[in-house]
Amino acid sequence: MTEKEAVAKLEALRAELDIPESFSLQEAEERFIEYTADILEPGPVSSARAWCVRVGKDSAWVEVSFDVDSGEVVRVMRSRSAA
Amino acid sequence: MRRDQRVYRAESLLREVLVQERRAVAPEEATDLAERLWLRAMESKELGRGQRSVRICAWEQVTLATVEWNVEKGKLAGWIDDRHFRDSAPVELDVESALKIAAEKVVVPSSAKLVEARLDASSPTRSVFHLRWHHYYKKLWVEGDFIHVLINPTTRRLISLTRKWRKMGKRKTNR
Repeated sequence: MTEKEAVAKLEALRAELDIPESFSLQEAEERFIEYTADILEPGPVSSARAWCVRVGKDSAWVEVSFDVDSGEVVRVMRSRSAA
Repeated sequence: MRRDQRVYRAESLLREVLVQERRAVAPEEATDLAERLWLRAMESKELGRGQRSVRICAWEQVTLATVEWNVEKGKLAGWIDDRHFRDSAPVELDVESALKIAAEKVVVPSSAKLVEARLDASSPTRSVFHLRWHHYYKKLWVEGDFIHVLINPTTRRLISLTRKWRKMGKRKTNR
């Protein structure tokens, strides 16, 4: 998966992930991340090389991480004001 | 041994004596000494003529330290020793010196990148110098991995070390 593909995939998933249209692209970075099945619960942690794409407006943001190999969404994080 | 009021009184008297003695030689240590002293009477006996002898063991809490380790690997993950916060006045400490102090106790992997080196002097009595490294693998940031070191700028000793460093290449980890 490339950066361009990750950004395009986020755009395609806006409705499904409940991301407001007013949130614009802020950052896209490839990095190694850790994630759990439920971000709020302790449990087995998986590692992935991922594209982390962040969109937002003012202080509110949503960051969606895509596994570089599979292209799957592995983690969605939201700022408190975007929750 | 029966613990009656006389034993408690003996412990209380000893506590006062120890605090007074400390105040005479190191007043700054005497301020909270009474709370840091643990006294325990081991033996109590009548001496006659209204006198009693009480043998007391005294322990002084030197510091409050916290140690964290990885329960799976048994490796040290971090520690903090409150004792080293003492006398931490906001004196200047350059980055090079701070790195040298840290290098005596901390092994920083070659995959680490220094991301923070600053003196936090927001408290006049508890100023600390922060050093923080992030983990990079194949030129990419390994989110969540870091080494964070606190240094007392006055005594130039390490106050704490916190380390979280994954072995890359492993798919699943349990934390």
